Amino acid sequence: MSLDSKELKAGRVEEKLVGSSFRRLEDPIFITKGATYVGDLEFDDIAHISFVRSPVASAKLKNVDVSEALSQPGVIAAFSAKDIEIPPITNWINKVIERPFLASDKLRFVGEAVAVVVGETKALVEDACEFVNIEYELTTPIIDPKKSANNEVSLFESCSTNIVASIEGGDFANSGEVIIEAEFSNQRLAPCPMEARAVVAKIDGEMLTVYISNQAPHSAKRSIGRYLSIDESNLRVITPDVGGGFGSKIGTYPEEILIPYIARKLNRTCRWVETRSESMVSLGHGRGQIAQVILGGDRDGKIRSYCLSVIQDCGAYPEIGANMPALTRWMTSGCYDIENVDFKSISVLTNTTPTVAYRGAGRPEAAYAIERAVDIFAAKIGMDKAEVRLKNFIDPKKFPYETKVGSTYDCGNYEESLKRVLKLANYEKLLAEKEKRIKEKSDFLLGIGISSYVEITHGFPAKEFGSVELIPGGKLSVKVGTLSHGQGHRSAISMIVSDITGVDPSNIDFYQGDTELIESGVGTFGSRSMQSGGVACKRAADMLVAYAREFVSKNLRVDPSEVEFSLREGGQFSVGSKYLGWSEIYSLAKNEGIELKASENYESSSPTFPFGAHLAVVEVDVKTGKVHLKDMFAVDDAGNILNPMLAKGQIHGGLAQGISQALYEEFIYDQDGNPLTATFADYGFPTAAEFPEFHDELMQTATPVNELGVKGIGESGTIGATPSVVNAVVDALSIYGITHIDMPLSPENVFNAITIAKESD
Amino acid sequence: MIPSSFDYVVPQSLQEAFSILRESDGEGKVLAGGHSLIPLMKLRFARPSILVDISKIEGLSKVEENDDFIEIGAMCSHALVAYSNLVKENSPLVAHVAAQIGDAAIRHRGTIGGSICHGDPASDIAGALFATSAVLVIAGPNGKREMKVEDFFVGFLETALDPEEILIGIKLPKKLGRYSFEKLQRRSIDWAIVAVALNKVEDTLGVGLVNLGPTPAGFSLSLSRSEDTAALLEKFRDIAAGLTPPSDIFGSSQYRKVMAEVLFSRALSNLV
Repeated sequence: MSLDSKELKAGRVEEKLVGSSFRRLEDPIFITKGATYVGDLEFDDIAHISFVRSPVASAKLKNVDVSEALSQPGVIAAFSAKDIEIPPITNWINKVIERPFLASDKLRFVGEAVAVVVGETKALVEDACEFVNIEYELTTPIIDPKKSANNEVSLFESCSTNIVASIEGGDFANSGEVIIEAEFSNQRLAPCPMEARAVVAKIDGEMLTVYISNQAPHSAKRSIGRYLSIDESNLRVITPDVGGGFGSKIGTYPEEILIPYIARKLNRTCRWVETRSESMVSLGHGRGQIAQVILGGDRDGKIRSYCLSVIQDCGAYPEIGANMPALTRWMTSGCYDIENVDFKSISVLTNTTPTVAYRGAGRPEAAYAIERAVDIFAAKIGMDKAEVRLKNFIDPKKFPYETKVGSTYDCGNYEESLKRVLKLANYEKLLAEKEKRIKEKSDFLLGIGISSYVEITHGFPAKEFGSVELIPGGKLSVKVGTLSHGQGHRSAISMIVSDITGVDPSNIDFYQGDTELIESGVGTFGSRSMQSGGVACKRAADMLVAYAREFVSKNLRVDPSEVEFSLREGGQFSVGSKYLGWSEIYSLAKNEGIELKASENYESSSPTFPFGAHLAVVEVDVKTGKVHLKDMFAVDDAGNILNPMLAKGQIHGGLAQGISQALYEEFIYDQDGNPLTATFADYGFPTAAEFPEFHDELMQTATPVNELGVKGIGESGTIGATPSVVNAVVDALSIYGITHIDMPLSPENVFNAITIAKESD
Repeated sequence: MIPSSFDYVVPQSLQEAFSILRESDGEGKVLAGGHSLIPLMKLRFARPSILVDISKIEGLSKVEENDDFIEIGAMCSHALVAYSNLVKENSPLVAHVAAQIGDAAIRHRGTIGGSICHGDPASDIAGALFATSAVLVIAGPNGKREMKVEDFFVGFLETALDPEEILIGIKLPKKLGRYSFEKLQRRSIDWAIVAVALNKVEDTLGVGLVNLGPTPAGFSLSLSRSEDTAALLEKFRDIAAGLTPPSDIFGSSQYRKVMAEVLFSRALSNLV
């Protein structure tokens, strides 16, 4: 990747920064000093907290005895459910289900918090945790979501069914000369952010300050305030640097509310930093969806009907994961113009870690289902996979396009993105190479996998805050309610503001993640930030320039229309030969007691729908089943691109996670609900060595939805990559009659599929 | 993820180390690179009362050459073994295998002695030592003893070392032939699902097996002039039939058996 980074020189800004690969303002400090995570913050006289967690998936909890732990060296306090005086969390998806802060009558998954120990050092607390005595009586766990749906055993006595949410299908009948049916599993994944969860609760008289590693500080404040009955004015939530989240840190977990509860109870600053082993079983998991598809089409390649039925595994408590099918539903028919489409789903409880949103959140599942189904259909009618797609894409002239499930796609050109990726990958040459290897009876077959995806970003349009204020020295203070946890918002938003005001990004102070400084905010998830907070800051910057123009006109007693504004010299206003820079304007305004400040609560009218096409080239060792990803090509369109380097960074990370789901990752439980992949030695979290260099191109079809023309790019890579890799492996093995292999495509899974196919031949 | 409390000492001599181990009454544990031991301690599967760090004991971190063999100090990192000219020239299979262990960080911290003493059947380097007929040099309070690698591993994560003994070196015969190493793994940093190391010297084929039983394993085949690949494969198949590889999330026992044959066959054709 080339970096056409523009050097910023004092007094420049003839050229716009937006659109350039301007280097990240965040990086110098990350590289030299390192990030400051919650675990790095220093406090005097801090107490340390650890959780004792359930060792079993399903049991009647008879007694929790913390008395022995209390007598261990360095221990300050210990709590079990009976010591927690706050009512359980009532679930927003299913009102009859309550989640206790600590397990009270039942143990429902391995990793559920059962007791808390507080002490003088983390090491002493961990030692003391071994003295908490949990008495329980094992009960039969339900691990398989399909079995859970039978309701033979209920996870909650208050609820006779394990189905906690469902979406009904409509009138639907298959149509087409060829009908294919298949079942695909989207296995459960662990999000594995670099920084696990961490909370510090600091007590200062009536004031409580909570430092938390979270994607949505304002909503964390609301949750903590509500459950602990703390007045808004006495509560401040700060997110320092946040080391990733991938969706798993959108919500506020019971543990994260307990830390401030305990701190207040003990009147002492407390810290909990989750260990990786703890994170693997108690940070929410992602995916966990079974899809049953029926696709009908004609022999000429036209797809006539498509029905997607989903079983979503919620884990032991219905969290955001229970709602994932709603997002899957939005994207049911993908890039295709299909006359007859249906979706239905159930979300079921199991004795496993609750599922939440994970990069892509419901949309990768939709894309995977239809992209796999289209490949199976193409193979069945003997048509090239690219050709079938080209025959069925929504016509670019039809946008905005309303799908049969009611999503309104803003704009797109699926045909162009597919054609571009085929060209980028030299598709014809790859096909020839594939045939050559088959003829040579090579042990290493080549597979080419295509996926065309469309997804939804900013799926739940909500107001987002942005403000720009002129501060001493002619600098700007920019505040935004979104929360970068690795994305580079400081850079992107500074570029936007700089282009409007002329102020050099180095003179822009950027603030996020502090409920005291930022009056409101929604946070960062669902690839929403630039199309919400970015637009808000753009508008605030426009307003600031207008206010300043007005101020200058009053000051110089001329009509505002006579005041010229130029980006030169760091932004200057002029009337005739009289020039005023931001610094002079600040001083003049200050003398008059005027603050030049603009803020905007911007609400987007609708979501946007990024799209693209990915092409994976794999080599499958048919003797061992080992898959080697040789090449990865990606053409992605997320509307206007503010900074290609940042966008590509998002795409590359997304591709890595998408590929990794296809090939390596799976959170596995045994039949008793014991996690078998609770460490990085077992869980297939990838390293850089697993990936080839990514060949990518950015396409830019500006969305009419917002004035920046931007869509979200945070999740696209993940959504497109997974089906392309699986399609490639199945393509390589199609000579054996294989039409599908469930993920992850581990050596043994692939080997077994080949063995079975050969036996049945 | 936080070990239970333990003491830590850094003896300057073997004698000092032996006496600390004796005083620890079987609760002490020798610390080399720590890449096997520390994770077990963090998970609290291992709880030694005292760690005896042998990194400051002189003479354990170098490779030496003698008339018939080279001796690799037990504290040599995998990286040192992989890049040592003495190892590359005299026992190239061992250097070749060491270069493929884990990732660069693991290779610079993990040691050949630590890997062997952990006794994990998934150890790549143990497989290489079987294929090259290595001899292990063990020191104890009563002096040194030598042991063939095939006598060292007695059970799952269990070796013939007495609690007060320390592995100090690995002797490799200076016999050059042809070698190969075939490793099947999921991620590049993962343990081998199965690996096979071959070392062919004159009419003997040394075979090292990784993750194909409860302990590291291997054997030798004598090659008669008339023997062809098919006959060798047949011999291997007979031996493989008796193996009891583990079943885990990376592969079932049966899969590993089948893979052993595939890798053996590939290793034979890839001898360099």
